[in-house]
Amino acid sequence: MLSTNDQSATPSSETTRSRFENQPELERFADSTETARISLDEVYQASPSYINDDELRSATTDATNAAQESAPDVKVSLQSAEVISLFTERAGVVLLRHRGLRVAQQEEEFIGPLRKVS
Amino acid sequence: MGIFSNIKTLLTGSPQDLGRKNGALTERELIEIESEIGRYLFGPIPKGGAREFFCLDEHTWVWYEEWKDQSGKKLNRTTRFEIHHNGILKVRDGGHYQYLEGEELQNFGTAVRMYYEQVMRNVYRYDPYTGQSLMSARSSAPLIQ
Repeated sequence: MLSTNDQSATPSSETTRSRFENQPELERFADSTETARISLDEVYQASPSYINDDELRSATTDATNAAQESAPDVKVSLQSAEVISLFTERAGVVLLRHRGLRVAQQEEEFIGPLRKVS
Repeated sequence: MGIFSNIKTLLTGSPQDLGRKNGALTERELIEIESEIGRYLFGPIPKGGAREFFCLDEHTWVWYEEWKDQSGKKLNRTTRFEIHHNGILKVRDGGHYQYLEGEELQNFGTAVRMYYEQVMRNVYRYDPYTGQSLMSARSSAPLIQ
């Protein structure tokens, strides 16, 4: 859990990059997650407007399993980060859209009647 | 001015800038309502502390935490999570940058999913899975006030 006084020493992006650079495991990792990437694309193509949490979770699990089976010694956080980033951005887009809808709806509620009176 | 007002003014401008029309909720106020859900996703807030967690825009999530140290002095920290296609970059006060990894990354992902689902249902009243409206046209007020 993200804690209040989180002092966990997670590696920096530089550390993460150097861990994977020039390692054959990275290639195996990328190959093993190709199927999962395609599945994730299919999820978004099939559901352009809303996020299907079950399908996304399934894509995450597939990606994790595929990577672990092919290269169990490689940490799978990069793939998880990709999936979580996509979900998080998508969630943000949908939330923004609904904020906009809500504000527009209210404007219509308040301004609409005034327009009719005038 | 409250904690949340301070953060929001810092991030989204003053209420005067954003305007408030005839009692309608502004986008800023909707974010504040969303944060009423977001602040409890990480568990209970310690006594004397405060927390906000909300989606600022499609690329940015904000976590604010306030707590007291042993001497009773109030401390606070604002953390910004930037969404990049290759990961979530955590940006803290003072220019500390690092990508989320491991358990912290998974927990952040879970928090976002819970935020999305609960906010869609309880603030905007839409089914987060299907996008279908959960309310009639007449009862349009958010459930959380």
